Amino acid sequence: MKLIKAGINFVCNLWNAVTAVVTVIVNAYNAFVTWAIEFIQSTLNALFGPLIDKVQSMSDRYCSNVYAACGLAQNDIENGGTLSDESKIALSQAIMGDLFIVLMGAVVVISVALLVLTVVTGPFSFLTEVVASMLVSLLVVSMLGGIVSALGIGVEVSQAISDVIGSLFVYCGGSLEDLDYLSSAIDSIIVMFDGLGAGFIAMCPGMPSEYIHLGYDLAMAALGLALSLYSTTFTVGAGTILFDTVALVMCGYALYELNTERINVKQRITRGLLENTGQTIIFGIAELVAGVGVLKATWDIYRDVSS
Amino acid sequence: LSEAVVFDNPVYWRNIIIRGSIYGLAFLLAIALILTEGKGMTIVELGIVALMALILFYFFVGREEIAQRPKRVEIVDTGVVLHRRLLPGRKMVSWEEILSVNIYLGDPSKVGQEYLREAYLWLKNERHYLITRPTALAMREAYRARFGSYPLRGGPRCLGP
Repeated sequence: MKLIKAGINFVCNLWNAVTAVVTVIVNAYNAFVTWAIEFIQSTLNALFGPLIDKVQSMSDRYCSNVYAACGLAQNDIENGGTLSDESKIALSQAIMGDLFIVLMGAVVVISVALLVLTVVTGPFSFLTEVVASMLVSLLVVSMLGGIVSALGIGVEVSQAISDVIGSLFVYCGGSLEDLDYLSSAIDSIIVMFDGLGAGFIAMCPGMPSEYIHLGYDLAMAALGLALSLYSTTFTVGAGTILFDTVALVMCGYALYELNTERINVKQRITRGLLENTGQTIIFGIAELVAGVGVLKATWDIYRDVSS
Repeated sequence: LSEAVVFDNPVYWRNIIIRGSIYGLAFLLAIALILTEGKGMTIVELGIVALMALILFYFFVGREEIAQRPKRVEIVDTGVVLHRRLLPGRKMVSWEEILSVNIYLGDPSKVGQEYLREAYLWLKNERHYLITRPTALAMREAYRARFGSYPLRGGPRCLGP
């Protein structure tokens, strides 16, 4: 009996000792993780700070140029129905402006910073990926943050979609302030591709203006697909999930809008207000692009989350 | 109307096949894109993508042909009765609830647009149902017999006589 009691006491003492040691180790680990995250954040902030400032100062000019080019294109469409060569050049120059060059520079800086931090943090390099991906997202949204207000175009993005993205962003560790930037960025991206969609419709000979929404939706679907295809190239870790979710939302939203618009166009054709000379085939193409985007992004998200 | 007139409202298989093939092709293309990344694909992942494709197909194609296409349409004195396709039961729609009956008034076979044989019944709450052309023509005549004029045509965003 005494032997059993002694055995139980021994096990209890051993357990307490192990628990104490584990607690010390966990506390030390947590302290180290906190320090490492702060270290990585401050390093990347030091690198990105000037870059973000520069980008923000450029974004106003960039937006003005895009806005002016869109105005020219709109004039052409209203007056002649087609886009003049001058407008095409102005539009392409405005879209492929300095901001793209800076973006390329940012990609180089990010790559180098990630490499250096991965070496410095050694076995804890996974933290670099988590923090860096958040900062990369922040960089992107900072660049695009001013475009919506500059263009002054309203975009219908349902509250539910924004909430889903917002929840995921906060879940991934983003702050509410960053979330505001992100919301603006998503709107901005949609506006940019709305512009490209308008250009697409304008450049298609014989495409009636009633199909303008089709161009928007096709452009949005193409952007969503592109985001899902290149999400792992642009960002890592939580950032990849974020990009893939945005891709899923964009493709899903494009699909929803395409179906709404398809029914609307069908009503107009049936009523005899619009002639169908084959343009409705583009609905099928756009639906295909958006469908592939939704499926690819779904797989990406599942793979990201499970890994 | 002295007695109810009943019209069958069969599924428009051409729509299901053409638009369904778009989602089938999207599924195959997505699989091809995933495999070109070189990371492989498990059975579970294949199942998830297939399930998503089926959900998209139902939401954007199947729902219209099942939930929004009644099995039979009955024209009665007070309105129309829509018989549900899969579930038992029926929905009574009074003439006052109808926003428009959208139908192509020309000859669809002459313009070569097969889908113009289909017609839409729009309600004031912006719900819509797919009905066949003979049903829509009969509905228009019944409406005129009651109100003295044909119902409006077009959808909520393009209403007109």
